[in-house]
Amino acid sequence: MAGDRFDVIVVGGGPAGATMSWALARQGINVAVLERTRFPREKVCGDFVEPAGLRLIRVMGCDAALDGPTRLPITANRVYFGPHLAYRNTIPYYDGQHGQPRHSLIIPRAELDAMLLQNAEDTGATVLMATEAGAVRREDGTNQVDIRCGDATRSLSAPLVIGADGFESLVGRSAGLQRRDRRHIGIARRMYLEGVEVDAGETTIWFDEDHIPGYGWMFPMPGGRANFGIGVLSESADRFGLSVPKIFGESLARLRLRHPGCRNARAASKPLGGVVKAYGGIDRNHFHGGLLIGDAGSFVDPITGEGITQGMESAIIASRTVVAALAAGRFDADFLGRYDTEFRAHFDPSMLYVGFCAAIMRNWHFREILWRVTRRGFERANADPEFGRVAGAGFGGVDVQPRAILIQLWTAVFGHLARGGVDAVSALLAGRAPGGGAHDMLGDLGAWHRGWQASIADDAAWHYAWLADVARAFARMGPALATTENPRVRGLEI
Amino acid sequence: MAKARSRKASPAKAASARPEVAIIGGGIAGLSAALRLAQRGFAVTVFEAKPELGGNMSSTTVHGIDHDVYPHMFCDWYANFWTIFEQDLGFARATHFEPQDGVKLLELGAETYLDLRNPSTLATVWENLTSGILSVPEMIVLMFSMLDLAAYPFGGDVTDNLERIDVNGFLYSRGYVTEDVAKVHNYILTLVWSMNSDVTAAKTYQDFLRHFSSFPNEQPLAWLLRGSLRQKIVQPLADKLRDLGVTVHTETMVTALDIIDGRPRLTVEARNGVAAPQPFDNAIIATPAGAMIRLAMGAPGEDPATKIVAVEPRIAQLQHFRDAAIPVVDIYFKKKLAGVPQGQIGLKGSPMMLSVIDISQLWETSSMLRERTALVLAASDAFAIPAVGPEARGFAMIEQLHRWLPIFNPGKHWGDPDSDIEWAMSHFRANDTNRLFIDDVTSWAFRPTAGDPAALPNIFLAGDYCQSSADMATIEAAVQTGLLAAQALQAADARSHGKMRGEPITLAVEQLDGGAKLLAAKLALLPAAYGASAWAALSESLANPGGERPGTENYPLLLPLSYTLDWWKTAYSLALQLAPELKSASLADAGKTTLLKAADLLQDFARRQPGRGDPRPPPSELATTFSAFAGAAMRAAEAALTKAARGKPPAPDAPYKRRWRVKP
Ligand SMILES: Cc1cc2nc3c(=O)[nH]c(=O)nc-3n(C[C@H](O)[C@H](O)[C@H](O)COP(=O)(O)OP(=O)(O)OC[C@H]3O[C@@H](n4cnc5c(N)ncnc54)[C@H](O)[C@@H]3O)c2cc1C
Ligand SMILES: Cc1cc2nc3c(=O)[nH]c(=O)nc-3n(C[C@H](O)[C@H](O)[C@H](O)COP(=O)(O)OP(=O)(O)OC[C@H]3O[C@@H](n4cnc5c(N)ncnc54)[C@H](O)[C@@H]3O)c2cc1C
Repeated sequence: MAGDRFDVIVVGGGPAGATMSWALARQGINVAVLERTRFPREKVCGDFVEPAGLRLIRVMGCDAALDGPTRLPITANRVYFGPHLAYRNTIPYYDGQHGQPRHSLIIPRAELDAMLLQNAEDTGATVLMATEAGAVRREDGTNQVDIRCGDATRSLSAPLVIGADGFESLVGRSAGLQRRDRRHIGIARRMYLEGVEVDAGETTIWFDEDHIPGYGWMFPMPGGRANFGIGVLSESADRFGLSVPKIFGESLARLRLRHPGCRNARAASKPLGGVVKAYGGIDRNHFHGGLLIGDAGSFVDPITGEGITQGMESAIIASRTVVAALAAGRFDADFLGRYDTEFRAHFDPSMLYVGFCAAIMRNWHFREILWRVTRRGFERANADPEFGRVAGAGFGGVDVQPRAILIQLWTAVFGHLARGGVDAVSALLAGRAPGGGAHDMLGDLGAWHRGWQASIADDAAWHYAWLADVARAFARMGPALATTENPRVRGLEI
Repeated sequence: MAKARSRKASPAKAASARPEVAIIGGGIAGLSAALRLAQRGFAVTVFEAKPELGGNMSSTTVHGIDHDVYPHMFCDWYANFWTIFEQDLGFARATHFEPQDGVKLLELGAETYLDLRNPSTLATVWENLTSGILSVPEMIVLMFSMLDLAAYPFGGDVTDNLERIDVNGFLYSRGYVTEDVAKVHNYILTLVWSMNSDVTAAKTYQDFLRHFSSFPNEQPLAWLLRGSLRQKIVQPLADKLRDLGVTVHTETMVTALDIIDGRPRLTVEARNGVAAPQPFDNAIIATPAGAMIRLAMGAPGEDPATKIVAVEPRIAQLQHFRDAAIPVVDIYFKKKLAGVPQGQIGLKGSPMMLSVIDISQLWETSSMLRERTALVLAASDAFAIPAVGPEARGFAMIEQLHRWLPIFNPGKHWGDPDSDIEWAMSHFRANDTNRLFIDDVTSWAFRPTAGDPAALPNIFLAGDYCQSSADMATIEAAVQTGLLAAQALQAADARSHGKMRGEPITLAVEQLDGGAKLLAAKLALLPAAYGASAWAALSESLANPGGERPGTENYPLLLPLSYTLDWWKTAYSLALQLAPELKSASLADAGKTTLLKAADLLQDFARRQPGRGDPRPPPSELATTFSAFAGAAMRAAEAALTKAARGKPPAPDAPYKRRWRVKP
């Protein structure tokens, strides 16, 4: 059967695919989006859209997704370390830089994705709902995409195909860019709650010993509803036999005990599991005749697990290469390689830093020291908004300034060690009681020592391979430290 | 050309005939070369001026008692020596040698001996720290300075000025070294090589330290013979050479060496007079540097045109080489002395730099040694001995020994019957003709490479003064140069005959810890060293306010600065070691490349580690000692702090308890 011809076929209609087809359609490019499901559909997600993402959604003209009484602006956060409330304050880095709103939003994905895709269709993209791409073949310099719609199958063709089909990307697999590296994969589970009574716009996240590295979240929505879930690194879950469903159940029980506003929280939907692939694990996202964007291209933040904004940004960046390729009539991997250069310039400065932190945290045996240090960080941020503004952005914010964070953290670390050391020595000399500083410092050293030993004793081969990974992550981050401005804060030219 | 003509001149020597090789000097270098060449089918003749073979490793036998030039220390790393001893002579090391882990020091007036052990395991490091030779912090500084020097990236180029600094120069360029630490280095050097740290090349000392700084290493530091050098080594080696058909002429001195038609011609003088000059195909000069230079330059009146110096004028520069005599006295007592420990003992602070070894505990017991103690006493500083007759000098040494070890009656003079000493068996030797080559600051650049065939026609040099990987004048250096000369001779012979005679001669290559490992170790220990230095300075200024050395009160304040500088310099050297291409890279790229390299090394290392569930080797001593040490330190600090807090428990800091477990 002769296929329909397009300039570009986008596989997947999530935020990445919708953004890509919007960006191409508005330039008059003949683009088709294939979406396996029929929207609105549920997508396992925290539904948390950071300010940079909101800014992009507004630029695309999807104001409807942002406004109205059904949205609750998020401006504050609580952080629990076990039962201990380490932070309860406004989110210090929501400062409205470069036209970002001063809040984030929880937008259920069923609504968000439908609106974004509708917007693309309105702009001129061809949207094929309930149409599944079955295989991508490259023939005579064009792509043949076999599709199935209901019981009917046929094939479409286009010189370029964009994989926006999520973490199990078919397009990526067809191009041989499959990624199964557990070091960069997070597994998660979420459900909706009701009966939650919290201060307006205050999210809650928590860290517990049974899901390290990882965290849990409760994002409130109007009407006492909330998005609730936990995520943990696949590698650790695998090595230490962590059961996500079990942790999920216990987390809800703990949340009810700890958070007064969640005392009466009830499940309002079935718990669903999901997977994210983080930015660190990629080598390339281009191939002969196509590109990968969004989850298909592993753009998820290695620490927070956010990927909606990253997916949309990667789509905008990729659309430039698509436009250039169509203009030049070049669809080979060499030409398309410019996409990788561009997305790296955009994401590396922030994501490699976050990836480095994530690499350190991969060592489950260091959970005690990491716990001590991060908890102290949150406590300090609670009292010192400027500290929170810079260092805190590494967690949960788009405004990651690696150099500023490192300078600040190291100043803090040196200060900590110096204060601890001076405290201890002068106390010993004077025969008086040492202050807390000395205990903190010794405690950290002890925790570090214990972690190191436990890690070697458990699996020396893994331990040194991990150390090598940390060194590599640090090496890769190095050049990014030289950039003073994070391109993700300024946003993309559209 | 010259070669072809020479062969025509002696038609008896067809290409297949065995080449005639003369070896001048029957020390261990010459004997090693003779052994290998004879095994490969060369016709070898050894000329030795003295009645006995062995040179500095020889023994004189008086009334049936062997008196070694000095009972040598055989370090464990003497790879080439051990190959000859174990494989060629077929002896078991453990049967003939006694392992030694370090040396003992005896201070004047002290009753107990201090132990300085080779810090090759953490346990011995710990013992060293608490040995009492220096205060603990200075001991840390001492050991660290050894590591520092071992790790120092000298350029390796003889024109490099860094090659020419002496040990003191190096030490005082380190921010953390204290005066007492420098003194101990000086003491070690003088004791072991009879030379002070202000003339020892830092590079040479480094080489020595590198050989010892493989860590962790369970092997002993060194070995001492259970008998005389003659009995255990020189005689068996001579027997082996005889079996291989080597001709050995003792008491035969080579008085002239001429190059005639591109071949060496030897004039020898034996007891029965001077023989007619004798031509050889090849010669190896394996004498000490002084004798080699005399042969190379020729005597007044001889034709300078046929001498080595005409071909290689640089040889004249070697005349400034230095050597030293180390007087030794063997003291046989009438009885057993109680309480003398086994192994080498340094008498700390003795003006003659005395050291003593009790051979009656070491040597296989004979009737002669069963009933008595026999001490070998050596004076590393011969100039401290009064210039009197030989026996009076021996007695002066014995008197000084008696001050440190007042457990015997030395009598009033040499031969005094009213003493505990059996004078008839005792023996003094000034060792004037068995001298120790001195590796002083500038000598390395001048030292010839052993058996360099490019320089001389069919003549090869060997001896501990030649360049070798052992650097310091040791048995291993001598053996190596002998083997190198034999190797070069064999290769030259193969070139001219188109065929290698026998298996190629090879040298045992020692696996030294790479510079990168040492630098990494240094980087890791740097904080401890500077901390210790500050600690030492602090305790000194507390002990004697005002201080001895004016202007040094503020050193502790400057330490952080030199620490920072040292850290970065070391890190930079380490980076260059790991990735030499960095020299031209930008700083950021350099950092990145280094880290990626380091990561690859780690990954490699990881591959060799046991994984989870794999059978695990028992924890190494290193690991257990370290964790015990770190754990103890941590607990001690916590306990001290808690105690200082007078029982007030620390602020609760236990977020990490499993408090969250909820009942289902
Ligand atoms: C539990 C969980 C919580 C998360 N929380 C957050 C959060 O709070 N904030 C945040 O920013 N990110 C979050 N993320 C990440 C975020 O969900 C993803 O990064 C984001 O959805 C990526 O968008 P996408 O368009 O690349 O892919 P997707 O949203 O996965 O869209 C892919 C689309 O492609 C379609 N498709 C797949 N295969 C085919 C095919 N063969 N043919 C046709 N169509 C196909 C699918 O049906 C799907 O609609 C979370 C993820 C998980 C798992
Ligand atoms: C007191 C002392 C203690 C030492 N302690 C140790 C130790 O503990 N550990 C260690 O490893 N090393 C030690 N050494 C060093 C070690 O002994 C020497 O490095 C090594 O023996 C040198 O061997 P050689 O063959 O190069 O030279 P030599 O042993 O000097 O041999 C040269 C030979 O050539 C002969 N000769 C010279 N001129 C002529 C000639 N014209 N014709 C014929 N023959 C000639 C000499 O008589 C001599 O026998 C010590 C040296 C001394 C002096």
